[in-house]
Amino acid sequence: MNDVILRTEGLSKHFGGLIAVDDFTAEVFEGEILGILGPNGAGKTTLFNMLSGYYKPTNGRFFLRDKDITNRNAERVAELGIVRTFQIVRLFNKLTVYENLLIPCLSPRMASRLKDQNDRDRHIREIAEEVHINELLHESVVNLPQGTKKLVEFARALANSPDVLLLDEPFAGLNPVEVEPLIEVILHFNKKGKTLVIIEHKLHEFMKLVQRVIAMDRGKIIATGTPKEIAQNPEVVEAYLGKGAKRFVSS
Amino acid sequence: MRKRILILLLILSVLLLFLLPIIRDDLYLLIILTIALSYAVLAASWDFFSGFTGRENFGISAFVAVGGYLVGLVTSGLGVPPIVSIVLGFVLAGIVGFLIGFPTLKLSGPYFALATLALVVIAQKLVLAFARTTGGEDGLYGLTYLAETFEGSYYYVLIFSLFSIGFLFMLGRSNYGLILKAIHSDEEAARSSGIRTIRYKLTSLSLSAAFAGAVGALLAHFYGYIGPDVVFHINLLVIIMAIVGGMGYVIPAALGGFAISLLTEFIRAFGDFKNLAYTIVLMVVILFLPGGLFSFLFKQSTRKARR
Repeated sequence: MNDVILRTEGLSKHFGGLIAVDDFTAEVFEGEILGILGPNGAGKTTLFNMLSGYYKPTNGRFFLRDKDITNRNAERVAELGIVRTFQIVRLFNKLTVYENLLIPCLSPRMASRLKDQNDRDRHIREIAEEVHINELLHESVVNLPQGTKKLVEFARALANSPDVLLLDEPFAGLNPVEVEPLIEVILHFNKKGKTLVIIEHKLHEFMKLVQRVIAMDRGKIIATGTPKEIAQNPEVVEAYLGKGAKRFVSS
Repeated sequence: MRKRILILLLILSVLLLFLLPIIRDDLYLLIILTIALSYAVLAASWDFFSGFTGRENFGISAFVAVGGYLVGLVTSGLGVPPIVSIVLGFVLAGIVGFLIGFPTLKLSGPYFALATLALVVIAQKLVLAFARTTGGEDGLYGLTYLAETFEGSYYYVLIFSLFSIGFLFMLGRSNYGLILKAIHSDEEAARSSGIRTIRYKLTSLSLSAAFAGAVGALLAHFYGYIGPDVVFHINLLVIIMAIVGGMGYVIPAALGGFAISLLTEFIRAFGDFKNLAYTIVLMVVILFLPGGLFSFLFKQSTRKARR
């Protein structure tokens, strides 16, 4: 097994009386694609919001390569190497595709790696080519189709050369034709060594994509395993289909 | 081709502005042009923060007041040359901008806009409360003039405004300006791209305030006078100028400032209906040219680049 790159210890988030994430302890290994599965309201996005610095956890800590980064704000977390995408695509709508990819290249994290405009240009074109959006670099992003917007957002996250990439429901709102190219580029970058954590509430999308799944329900981890193991786990089935389904599955 | 014509047109108009005092011996024209040029800088500096980042600054006249009253209360009495007090006004207003932005720009929501609005009210009250020092409603007279002749003052302001607008324009087109626009589009996404957005908002506000402060000092030296009537009525006017001109490209806003300022002279005859005229211009532009009167200068060129 590879080294642990990201680790959480008893991570919890309470909103008043609501416990959105409860005692979440898990590890992400370098170079893997980890899926986080759960029905709506399971606490997946809240977990991402903590890991990306948007929410301060109520309890618990998390570590990037043994460095405690629990109370850093969003820009610092990104600077340290955890970069996220959003459930509903968030692009810089007034800018072109190229400019969208340029913004992360101007962050303090990338400023030390990309010395001048030539370096940045090369970096952007490399990523654009790999994500297959190089033809669109000078398009304005507002008019792009949804699937392409997701690709641009993915490319923008990659432009930050993240150590861990968090994808929040990357397939939400996409039709099956649009899902394929995204899966393809995710697998491509994973093959090149990128570590990815993907949130999804449909198990189906995970089957050919992720190596390991953590299933959540009501803020808690209910199962961990390969996608296949998770699909047969009675607790997961119950969380999805409700009580009574357990009997149905075991029979 | 089109771009070349526009650049040529720009150079010709600047040339015309330089030659005007030689071509025509018209004092009145020089004075209204001088004022129009200072307003162009104000609209450009308002645009540089609010137009770029999308956070509304309702307090530009407070920054103008900082520069103006600095001259009236301190530097003119000390016999400091105008250039020095303009620089001091620039620095001091920049600091005030930083201090007002530091606690409020971190927050989302209307806090920043409210704070800037409050700043103007406070500035206004301070001027009246310390009437013995500030001259109150009457203001302060007898300040050092910008130059010995009106022509001299005109050239002073012309060079100052071309430099200021040019500087803000170049900065707006740089990567720095691009980051400001990204923040306008989606601040959260900018943060998760690793951009320390608060720094950019703060520096852009400080610069915007600094240029407003410099204009305040400039105007005080130009009029030889500073009072509430110079400073506080321009607050909303500058915003209207930037919106009518077009936001997010500096030069359209500056042209808006220049044009509306000249328009003000022509509608002087309307007296109290002046404000109604502004409002009508503003509404017509918002309804029929939502990008502003002059932003076509830049939008065309970006569309061209896309091809």
